[in-house]
Amino acid sequence: MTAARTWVAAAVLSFGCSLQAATITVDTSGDGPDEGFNDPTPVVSPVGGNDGTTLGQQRLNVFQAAADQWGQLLDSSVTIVVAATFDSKFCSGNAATLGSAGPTHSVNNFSGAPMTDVAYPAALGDSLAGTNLRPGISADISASFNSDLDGGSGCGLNWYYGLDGNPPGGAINLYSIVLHELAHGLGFASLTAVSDGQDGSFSGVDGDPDAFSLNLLDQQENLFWDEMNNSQRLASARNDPNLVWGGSAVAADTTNWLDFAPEVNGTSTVPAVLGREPDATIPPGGVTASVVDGDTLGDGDACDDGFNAGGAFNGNIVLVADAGPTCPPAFQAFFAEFEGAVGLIVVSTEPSGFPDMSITISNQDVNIPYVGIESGSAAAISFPSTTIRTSTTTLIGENNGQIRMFAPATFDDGSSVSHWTSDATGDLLMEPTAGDLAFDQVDLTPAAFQDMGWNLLTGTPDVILFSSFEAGE
Amino acid sequence: MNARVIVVPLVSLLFIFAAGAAEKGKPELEKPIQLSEKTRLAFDRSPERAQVHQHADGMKVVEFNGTRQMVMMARIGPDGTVETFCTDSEHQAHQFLTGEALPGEEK
Repeated sequence: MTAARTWVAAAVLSFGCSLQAATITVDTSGDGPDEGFNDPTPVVSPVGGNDGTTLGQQRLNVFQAAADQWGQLLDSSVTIVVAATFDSKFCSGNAATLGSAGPTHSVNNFSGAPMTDVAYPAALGDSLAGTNLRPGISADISASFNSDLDGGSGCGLNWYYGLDGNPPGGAINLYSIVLHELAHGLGFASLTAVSDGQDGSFSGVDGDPDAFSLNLLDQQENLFWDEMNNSQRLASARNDPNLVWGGSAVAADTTNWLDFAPEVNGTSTVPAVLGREPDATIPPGGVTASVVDGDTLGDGDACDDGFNAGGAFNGNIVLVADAGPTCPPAFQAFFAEFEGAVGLIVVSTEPSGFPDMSITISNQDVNIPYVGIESGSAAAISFPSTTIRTSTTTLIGENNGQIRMFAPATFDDGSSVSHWTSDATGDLLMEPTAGDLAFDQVDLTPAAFQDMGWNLLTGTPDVILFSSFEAGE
Repeated sequence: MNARVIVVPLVSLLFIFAAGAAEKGKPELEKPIQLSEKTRLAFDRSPERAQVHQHADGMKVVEFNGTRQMVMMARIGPDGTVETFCTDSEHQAHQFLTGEALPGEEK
């Protein structure tokens, strides 16, 4: 299969001189009169750059804006049609289905297909063929979103229809959700049956792999998914951190989007996870100091009344065992800083994995870097000198230079694998969880599309939609 | 707000933890989860839901008929923040909507 992948890359280059921005239209005919996209409910005023005067028009404006965003990045001489509806879906006071999307169909072995016996999502197949492969039935993507978020009975969530990435607190930014879901519809999704107790088979076309799954690589097995049998794929779908994206375009683009990982350098270099206190950053060049054993020099549980180390921490990096949720690392860091420490290393007490570094203190600041390391890494911490620093080679969310997929072993029934790892930092559009629901960039997604066979209008797009629209802010 | 408050005698400080996801606990469901038929269809990957069309020139088309989609959900945590999760697993969807912690939430 390696040769075939190389062939795809060559095809992309050879067609590079005749690229055409894709036109993506939104077909709203699935909604009846006065519902969904046709909802005539007047809106009081434009919101966040969306000047629609009815609820239905504002919904359509958001969909079309997201569709246009993808259209200006992807090459296709064939109009891509999104059949979209707004429908009543589950919504309670504090939880809801927002919406769904996917390709309407897949195609393989068409004239112009880069590879035989590979299922291409409809829009990509049409683009590569230069024609609508299924004339008469035009939709390439189907999407359905929840209309109950706009005042449905008992529904406690609300859509934000602005285009400025500035939803008020508690509102859900429809633009970001549509941008994400349309990417699935354009092909950022595995058609392999690995969730909900399924058998690991390819479910695209008669057992053929799909263009997305061709890029899934298990580093532990050193096999791409099309080189595995069903049971191997099922195991691989839960094999984090070893399941990665094997495509070359993404690998070449990760440094543009992922942050470099923290690490601790003593007798050797070991990976670390940085605490989430906002001011507890690693300075350029890192922090180098002697290491002192906080568990020995302190008087017990720091959260009782502090370490009481009597000056032993002053100017040093303090090493402590993870005390768990009763005294989280942020708390220990606060007390270590209180006694003059310049850094804190928290060692996990579990056989594998890092301490939970997510808990922060809302009414106090921590100003020294504090990191968690695995228990097996403790031996690398040297006395008298160790450095807490930022790696210049390892990115957060990667494994051996390739970005991890979302494949946690803790999902007993398998995972979808159709997202990047949720550990990626900075946050990526195609992670399964979107914390602040606002994205101004499509980051690694176009590179993934390129690995699947899409021709891009530019090499590696770095799209800024709105200057004030920043994920994570 | 599911924050924990700890008084520390030595420094006379009042600490309030901003809860990470693992500390947020479960949102209280206000009504049973009943996914719409369209949403349940979106999760479906069974072969019988797909139609294969073999063309004379060798091309094959598989129509998914609303199956094989990705589904995005949202929930409001006890601290009022909105969390989202996208999946193709109906089981994971129920886990999320009932407030269970998901892998990766500790980020």
